[in-house]
Amino acid sequence: MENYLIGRDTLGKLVDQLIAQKYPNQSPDSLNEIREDNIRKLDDQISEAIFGGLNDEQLDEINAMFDREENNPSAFQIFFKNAGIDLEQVIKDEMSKFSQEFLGGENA
Amino acid sequence: MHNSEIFSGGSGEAGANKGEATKKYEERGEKVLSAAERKALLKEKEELLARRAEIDAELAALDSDEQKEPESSEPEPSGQPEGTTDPEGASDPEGATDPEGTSDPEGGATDPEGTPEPEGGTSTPQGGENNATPEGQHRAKIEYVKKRAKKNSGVRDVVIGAATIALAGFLGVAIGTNGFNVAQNNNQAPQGSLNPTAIVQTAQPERAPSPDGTTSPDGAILPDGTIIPGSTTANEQDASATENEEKEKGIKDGYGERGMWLSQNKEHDYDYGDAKEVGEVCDHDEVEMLKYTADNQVESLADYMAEFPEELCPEGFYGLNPREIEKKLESLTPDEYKKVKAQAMHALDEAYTRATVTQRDYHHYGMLLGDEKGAVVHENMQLVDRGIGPGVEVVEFYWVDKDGKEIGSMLVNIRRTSANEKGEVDEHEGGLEVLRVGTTDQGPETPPTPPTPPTPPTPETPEPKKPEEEIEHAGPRVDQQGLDEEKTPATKLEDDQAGFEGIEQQERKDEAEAAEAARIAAEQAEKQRKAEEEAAARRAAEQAEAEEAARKADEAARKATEEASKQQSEAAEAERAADDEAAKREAAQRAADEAAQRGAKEADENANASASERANIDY
Repeated sequence: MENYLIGRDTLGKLVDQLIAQKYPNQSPDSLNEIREDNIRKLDDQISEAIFGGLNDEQLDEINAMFDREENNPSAFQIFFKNAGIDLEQVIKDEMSKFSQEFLGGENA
Repeated sequence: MHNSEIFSGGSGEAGANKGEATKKYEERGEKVLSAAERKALLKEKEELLARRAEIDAELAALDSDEQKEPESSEPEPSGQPEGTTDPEGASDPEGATDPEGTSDPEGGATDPEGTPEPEGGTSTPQGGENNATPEGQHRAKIEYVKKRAKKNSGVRDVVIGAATIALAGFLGVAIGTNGFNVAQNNNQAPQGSLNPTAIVQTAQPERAPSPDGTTSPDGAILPDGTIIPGSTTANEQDASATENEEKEKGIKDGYGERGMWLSQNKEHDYDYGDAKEVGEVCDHDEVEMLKYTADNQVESLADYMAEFPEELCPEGFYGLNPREIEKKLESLTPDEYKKVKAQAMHALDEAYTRATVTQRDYHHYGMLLGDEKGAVVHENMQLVDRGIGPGVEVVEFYWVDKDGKEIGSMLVNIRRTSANEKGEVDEHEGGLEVLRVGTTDQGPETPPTPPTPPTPPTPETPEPKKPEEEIEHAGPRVDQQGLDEEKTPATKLEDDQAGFEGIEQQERKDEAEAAEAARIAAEQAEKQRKAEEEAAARRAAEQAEAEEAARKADEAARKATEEASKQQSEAAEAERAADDEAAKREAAQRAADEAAQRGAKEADENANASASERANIDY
């Protein structure tokens, strides 16, 4: 079973568009492996960008939230805000980097 | 269990013990659990202990996985569907049923404040040479958090929400899909201010007729005005280099040909384009609107690039005016063009926005029909320079450096059409133009204007009131000398008198318009101030609500913890009481048995004694 931070449905939209640009004449079935690999890669890349910038104290804080099974999204919004992480911007930047790498720098 | 025997009053001693035990708890105000309740608690305790053992096993498995492949995403047995909440937490191997991790009433090794680690202590997976150094430990922590985040619905909801918004914006611009809604631009930045300038009274210029010799972009719009996404067409055209070159030029020279800036009302004399349609595609996010127009029309891209700060302007374009930029862009190969456009998009992404009101005259580029009665096609479109006065609501896009210091800005007049009281929409009011102060910067390419004076010309006619800074407007100019040489003195006198009267009327009109413009500017400034105050109040209220929600969540968690502890204590107490009772029952039973034995023995002895006596008597 696979595990994603964001999910295949959401990231698949971007990867599908990129694949259509890069491989316009190939059938979707032949590109299924590329699709899955790149969805996974993008999910990992975004996860690393979000959590890789946290310091030890912040990592301990979020781990404590996981320990007490904090499921309230507001609590995590406050956490990221206090940590100075603009999730939207981070994710957009990673999508941009990913797209440029995938398309070989041709992306607009 | 012997509850029924004891509490129904078996032997006398057992019955007395029951009353004391019950009284003790009742005096303390504690609930005396029934047998069924105690059974249920004990069963729950066993289940929690078993669950804890499972969690410990899974954590141990995770630790060993991390030692083998610290950066791989191992399949986890959570089975949690994407984007869904796991209310029971049943699939959460981190111990969903144990809010505090204190599943051991006897106070086992689990640290209630920390993670359910076998070793307790910090929330970091143990083991491995990678964690020996501080950097290794930090890295291990990050990996651990990344794994756990995938299983937490709260953090996933937040990240997925942000990703959805980011993706909408990214796909809407990068791919150029028509009709894709993008999110609002919520950029917050240090506040800056426009340099205040004198309010200048300026009459709106007359519409300039078609100039000669201006550069007309190539291409044409669809006859029905259908908007074609530029990027989609660009993708199709990449197949053939020869075809693509020409077609790319057509797309790049897209001013008017895609109907981008033209409203649906094709019958009007001049259509500068309607930001309303662009706004609908871009969900009225102003940065996205600029990116959308830049993505589809090279003239739009050039318009914005001419205002970029040097730090963000693509190399080789800084300091050029929009015309020069447009020509340079059109000279690039498709690949080069895409790279420059990508850099420009990044620059637009870096912009912050704020609403403001013009305090002076500006001019801007716009499209005009050459033959106003002709077809609305690309060949009939002319680029012109137009003026705009003070008191107009516009959007300022500005850039800051890493220290928050403003390094550049541009004003963009974004005019969306809106319905009047009758619900009618005047679509020709729309527009999306970058404003520039002062004279046109088109230089020799400025379209010449024919001599069509707005007022009767005279040689002594004083110039209308102007500020210290000279402002030129695109519009008709008058060659005064040429006209005067053709007139007789008498006619000139009549003309002079008529001219003076006209001048006085004009002056009175100018004064009234200046006063009106000042009033409008003051109203707009007041509106802006109020809007900013309301926004600040809303933000403060939202912040307070979020903090209150967090505080309540913490309070609820604390109460749940306390309740669980209390219940466990009660269960332990009940168990101890049950044990006491059992011991007492056993003691009572033993006493009873001993008494019975003694009674039996005595009876035997008595019987034996009686038998002996009888034997003796008989004998």
